[in-house]
Amino acid sequence: MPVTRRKFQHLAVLAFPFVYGVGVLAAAVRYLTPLPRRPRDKQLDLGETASYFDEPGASPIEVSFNGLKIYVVHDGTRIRAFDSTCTHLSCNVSWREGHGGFVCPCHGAEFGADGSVKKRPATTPLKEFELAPIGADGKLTLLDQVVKPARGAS
Amino acid sequence: MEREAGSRIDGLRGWFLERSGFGILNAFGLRQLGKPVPTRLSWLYTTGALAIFYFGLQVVTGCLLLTVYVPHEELAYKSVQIIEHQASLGWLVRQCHSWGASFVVIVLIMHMIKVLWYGTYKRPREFTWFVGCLLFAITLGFCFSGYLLPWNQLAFWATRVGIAAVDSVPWIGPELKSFICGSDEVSGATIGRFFALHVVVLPGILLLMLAWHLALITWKGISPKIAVGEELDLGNVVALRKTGSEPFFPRQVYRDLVACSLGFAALVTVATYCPWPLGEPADEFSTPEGIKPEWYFLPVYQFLKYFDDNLYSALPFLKSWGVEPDFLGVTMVNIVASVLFLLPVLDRGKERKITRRPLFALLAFVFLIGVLAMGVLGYLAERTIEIGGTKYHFDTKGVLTGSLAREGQEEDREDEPAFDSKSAVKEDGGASTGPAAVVVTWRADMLPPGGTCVGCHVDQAEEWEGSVHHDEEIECARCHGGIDTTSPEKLLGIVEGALESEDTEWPDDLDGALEAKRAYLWAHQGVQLNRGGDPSSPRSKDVPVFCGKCHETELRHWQAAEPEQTKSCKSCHGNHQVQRVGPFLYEEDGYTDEDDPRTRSFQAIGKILLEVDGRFQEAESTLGALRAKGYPLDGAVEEQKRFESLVTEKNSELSPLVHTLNEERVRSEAAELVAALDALHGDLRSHLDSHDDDRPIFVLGVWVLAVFFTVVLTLKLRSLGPAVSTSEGAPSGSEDSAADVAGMDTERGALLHPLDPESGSG
Repeated sequence: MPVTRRKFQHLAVLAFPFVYGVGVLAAAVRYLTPLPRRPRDKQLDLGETASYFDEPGASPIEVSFNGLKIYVVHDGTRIRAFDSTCTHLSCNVSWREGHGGFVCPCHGAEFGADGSVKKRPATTPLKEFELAPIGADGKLTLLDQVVKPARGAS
Repeated sequence: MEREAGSRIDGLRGWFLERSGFGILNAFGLRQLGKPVPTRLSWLYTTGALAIFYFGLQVVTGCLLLTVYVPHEELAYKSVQIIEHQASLGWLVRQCHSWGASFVVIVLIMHMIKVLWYGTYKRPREFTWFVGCLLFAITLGFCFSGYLLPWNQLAFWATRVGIAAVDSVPWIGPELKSFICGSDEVSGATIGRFFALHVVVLPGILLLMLAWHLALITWKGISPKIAVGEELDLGNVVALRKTGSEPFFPRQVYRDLVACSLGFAALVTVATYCPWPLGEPADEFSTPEGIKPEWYFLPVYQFLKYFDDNLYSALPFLKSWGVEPDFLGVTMVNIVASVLFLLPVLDRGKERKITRRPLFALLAFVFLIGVLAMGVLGYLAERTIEIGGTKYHFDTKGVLTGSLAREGQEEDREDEPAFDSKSAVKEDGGASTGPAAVVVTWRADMLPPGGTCVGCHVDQAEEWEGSVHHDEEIECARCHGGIDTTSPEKLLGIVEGALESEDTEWPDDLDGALEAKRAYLWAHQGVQLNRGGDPSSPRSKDVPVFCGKCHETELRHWQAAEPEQTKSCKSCHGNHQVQRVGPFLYEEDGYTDEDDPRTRSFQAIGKILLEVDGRFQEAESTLGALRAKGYPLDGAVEEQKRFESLVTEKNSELSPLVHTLNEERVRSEAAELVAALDALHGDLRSHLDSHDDDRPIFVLGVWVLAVFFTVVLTLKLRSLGPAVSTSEGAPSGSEDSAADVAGMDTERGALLHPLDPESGSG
């Protein structure tokens, strides 16, 4: 069916609010899209702290890294670094001496010193960050690399 | 002459109404006020008007808050502090706004219960219900977005937990959360978004929806208490009046005004006497204990807690089906909400009367009881409450886990700590110069305070229990060393070595049994010995290795002033029963020998320090007075911090100087500290004076007004006569009924057309 001039004008008038509406909406969505993150630190030097963990049961070291609170802890076999954000609903877990692990103050989720879930409602382990191999000087270096959880870990 | 003036005024009025367009609005308003409503409506029918009234108040108080509030992570908390403590009546505006949110929710819930009870959601008012439900959801959106704006700890973490739930939305969860927050987590970007949502987007949507809701009410009318299909057309006013209807104005309007008047007084009273604490500013690295959402979200929050692994034990097939408990919980909540929303579609029965809808009544009752129960359990969860001297602790699911401490155990000593087997948190009354209200809890390893030592050293433990060390949870091992909290595994080698060694000398009271020796060694490993190699009692010269481990400053001063060490720590402070410093120390236990040249100096220093203590107590009492007036002195408020800093300075720098026996030095240091304290105390007093206790005046004034208007409006309502009955059938032809209707028309005419001499005398 041929589009007459009259019909074209009619359609154009009908399209007017949609075109502008979509344009404004697109601009609004773009405006509201979160800003790119500031460059992340690649690593954090924790100093010669490896020897601190020679004492079994030593409390974790707390550090701030790329806007996160990180616990560096000895899990009984090696030194590891965990993000303190609870994997349930994002509260910050804290270390409990008596439990030898982490407890979330919001909903009671518990995690072992190895980051594994010990008690629900959390279902996934704490996010773990890589630590650079410890040198002869006992220097610990936290890396901005997330350790991929082992398959089936909970 | 008078007639000429009257006609000029009428002409002017006509010109104004015609030119301004108010004539059309006026006519529209009058038509609405004249719309028929059923007679004998319950007072619950005033909840709609009351909700609009509270919304209006929220707009007014919100606009006032906007003049000071700054939606920025660095300034939000400070600006709310300024509103609360510096702006004139800022406290009233903020508290009315905060409490207003809860009042709106309460009234809307009552409004919805009214609709359910009278079945007014049924045909032809389905959309009135749908739009009403959306209005309720928008109100909750207001509450959620506004909650974050003060940027305090509670707001930050409650929002963070709430937003984290978005993460679980299939496929788009993380992106959606990031879009809402403006970053990966709740942050400074989030506050701007929530602010825009709270003050622009949601109010706009609310206005549109409210207009729709009201339009539906005027189009469809207020539901009479008769079955669906038996209603008369709203345009048939004469027939409606005969079956029990009357104009919306004046009776219902008067009743609405009474409700609003009393509602306003209630809001101001609660806002004045139950202020919302501002708490501490948000700290993204520290989640406080016991975070819970506001009461209106509590039932859902608590309900979701029961969907955990335990559900698999009760319903094992869920696991085999691969259903996650969390997902099931969220689905259940959504199903319940959907059923509530779609009620007009699901409940197709024609009966409105609750007694003729027994199944619905039962289901609604069970639902309401369930919601209430979840709310109560949510409140009790992770809480320890005291009833009749017994403390009860409830776990995260609101289950009672046992009573903890009985009053009888604390009769002898008020300072005796109460034991909480679940909590390992020390509760302190805050900074204090006097004895702190300390509650010592069981240790995390479930040993009693003092650890294993108290099993044998009973007398020493009893002395220690009345000491300041006990209050501060300083246990035996801190002074004496010892294994106390150490696991025994690493000692095995040491113990076995000592057992095999012939050089080891065993105490006489050990019977020589291997297990007794092993236990003895295990219990005493690492115990600090005195100079004689004896673990029992430190001598004066051993002070550095006992008391000096913690009290280094005091030790240094004492060693300089007492080179001969004629007195030791124990001479003044006692042994295990170490007491807080007080007058008794200077009068009884310190240097009291008049022949001793050091006594005069010591006594003078004592006077100075006691005087300083007195000044601190005065300042603390002013702080307490401010706190009692709702001034939030917890946490980060500057005055509280300054006070705590001065207390620390006194305890760590000034008080130890008594060991120097140098009066001049103490006097000089004390003068500096007192000057700083006086400056702080001056500020506190000025806050106290500026925060005059004008609350009773406000509350009294509001209630006087409320009572006055209630009385006047009640008299007006009485003058209208009794309302005719509805479904039972009005005495349509009776003279009384005709007189009532005529009386109301006259009343209406007089109030709506004050300039019209023919509209009645009122």
